Amino acid sequence: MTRKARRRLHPIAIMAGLGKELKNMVVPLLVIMAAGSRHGFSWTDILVPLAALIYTLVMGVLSWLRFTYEWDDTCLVVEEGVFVRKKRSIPLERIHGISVTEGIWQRMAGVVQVHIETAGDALGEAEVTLRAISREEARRLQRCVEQAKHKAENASHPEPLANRPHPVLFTLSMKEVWVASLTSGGALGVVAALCAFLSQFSDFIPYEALVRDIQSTWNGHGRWYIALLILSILLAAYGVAIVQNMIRYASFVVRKQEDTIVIARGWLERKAVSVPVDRVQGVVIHENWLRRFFGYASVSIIHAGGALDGGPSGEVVLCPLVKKHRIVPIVQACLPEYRLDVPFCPLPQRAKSRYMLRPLYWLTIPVGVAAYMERPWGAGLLFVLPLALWIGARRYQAAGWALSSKQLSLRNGWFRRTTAHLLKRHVQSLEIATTWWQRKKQLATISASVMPVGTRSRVVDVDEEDAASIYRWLQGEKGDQT
Amino acid sequence: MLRNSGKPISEKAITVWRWTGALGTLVSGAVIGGMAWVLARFHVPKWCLGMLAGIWLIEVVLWVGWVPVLRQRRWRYAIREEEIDIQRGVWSTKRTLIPMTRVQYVDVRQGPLLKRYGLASIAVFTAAAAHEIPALPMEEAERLCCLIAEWAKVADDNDA
Repeated sequence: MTRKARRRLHPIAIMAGLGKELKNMVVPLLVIMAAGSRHGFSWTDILVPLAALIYTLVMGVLSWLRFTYEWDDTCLVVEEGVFVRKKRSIPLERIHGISVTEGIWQRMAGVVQVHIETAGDALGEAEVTLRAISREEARRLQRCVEQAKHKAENASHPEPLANRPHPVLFTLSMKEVWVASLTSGGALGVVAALCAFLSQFSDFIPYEALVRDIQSTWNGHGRWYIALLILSILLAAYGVAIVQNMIRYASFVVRKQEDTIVIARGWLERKAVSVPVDRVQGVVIHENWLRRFFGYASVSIIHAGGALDGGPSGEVVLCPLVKKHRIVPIVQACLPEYRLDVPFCPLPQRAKSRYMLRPLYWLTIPVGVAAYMERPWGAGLLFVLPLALWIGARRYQAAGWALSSKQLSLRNGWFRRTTAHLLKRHVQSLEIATTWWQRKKQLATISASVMPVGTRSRVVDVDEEDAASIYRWLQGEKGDQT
Repeated sequence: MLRNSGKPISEKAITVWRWTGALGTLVSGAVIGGMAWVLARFHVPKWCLGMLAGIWLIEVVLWVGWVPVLRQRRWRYAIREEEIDIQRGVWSTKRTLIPMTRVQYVDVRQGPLLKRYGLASIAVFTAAAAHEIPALPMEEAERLCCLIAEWAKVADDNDA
């Protein structure tokens, strides 16, 4: 392929960009207007929002005009910037992952948004977003990237371009989407977002009067109504979280194309994330207590790059909900190097008391004070303490580690049990920490970190000798030299 | 258990850490003094102010007197062809292993305090985190920096 003429995005990109900008502007603008119009309305109040609006519109069009892109079989070149021109050229084989999204705007014009992830995200220049290009172009870009990678790996025999359909490794049925959304526990996130949203309006919602009203209602016979109200708000938030997750996980499909895992999902907004296998740094299995009860878990892969999936940086969801016995074959098919069915070593018996007492360190005093303040009924709070002991014991049971010649696996947690499988060649550093108390019981905390920055898994209170053997496992064979 | 095979860092580190500790306690002394002043204006009982002064004194003793010595005594580093092995920590002892193949780059760093005592620290960066060996003699730091760079490169070639 020869270098083509520089190209612009589809004009719908203006709308998509504007939509995003305006969404971020709405709340601050409303606050400004509300603060200004306290002493009656006048036309100057809408001056600032109007100026902001016009500025955004003009900038939107200008930045679309100045945004051009092109690629040949080695490089992707993007030029952008209204006042400061910026030209970035990205070697195709350096691209870590591509995610293709069809948002609402993009669907209207029949185009897709392509998000490209490259190395070096510490510099904050790691990502390029082509906001609206045709679907065929996106596919062509993906193919070029794959080809460039192949060429970089084995220059001798270029693999024939595969147009045959790739086997589907994992899908979610509608029922599973429903269960996954039901058990994902996103309601707290929705409540937090709601609170954050409401706090923006503290200027003109009379919270103090509201609190006073609530107090008088509470003192009357209204406390059941208030409880009911709070319950219904929580339920509504839960409902919103469920719908969000259903939209997110609808038509979830995982495929493997040569050396790339492609995860497609979404209903209103279609999204396809492709992650090259050699960029995968580890496999993480999350089991929250509710899903574990029904024998389900979710599987993520740690990806050496930014947040391709909108989740926490570096994690891409491979299976949002899967029966436990299916995990091994699925991961085996995607990432044949990983062994998930390793036998886990438990922690020594002497760690158990430490696990059980740990929650009490920070619970006892607040619970005790609260129980004392609300004397007759507050004493019921004291039941929290044995519960904490019990949870500590469960956490002790859950924690463990496994070691094979090529792989380290660490597991911990009870509410949300997390099992991380890391290959030896991906472990960036290993740390063994012992506090004074741990040393007395010959225990240690091991933690291993992998790419991207800040991704580490750890297990507290491993037997000292075991920790030492894990340390030696990562150590080289040669003796001391300085 | 793991045997301790590393080399200690320079003893001048204690002096450097005493200085940084002194600066830190000056700052927190200002904060605590401000708090005491505000509290005194509200006629808080004397023993409260005494307690604040006591907290500050303890802080000074810890950060200027005790912690720098312990910290220097705990520090060990070993740089081998295949790995960097670091041991440190006062409250909890930490032992860190960085395979040489994972090292991305190395820095020699020298602040004004370190410079005054002819010291430098080296920072080893992997793709996941930065690890620092503080307070080495200047020539030693530079030598180690070159050595690590050399070995990291060699190791990288073998890996590929």
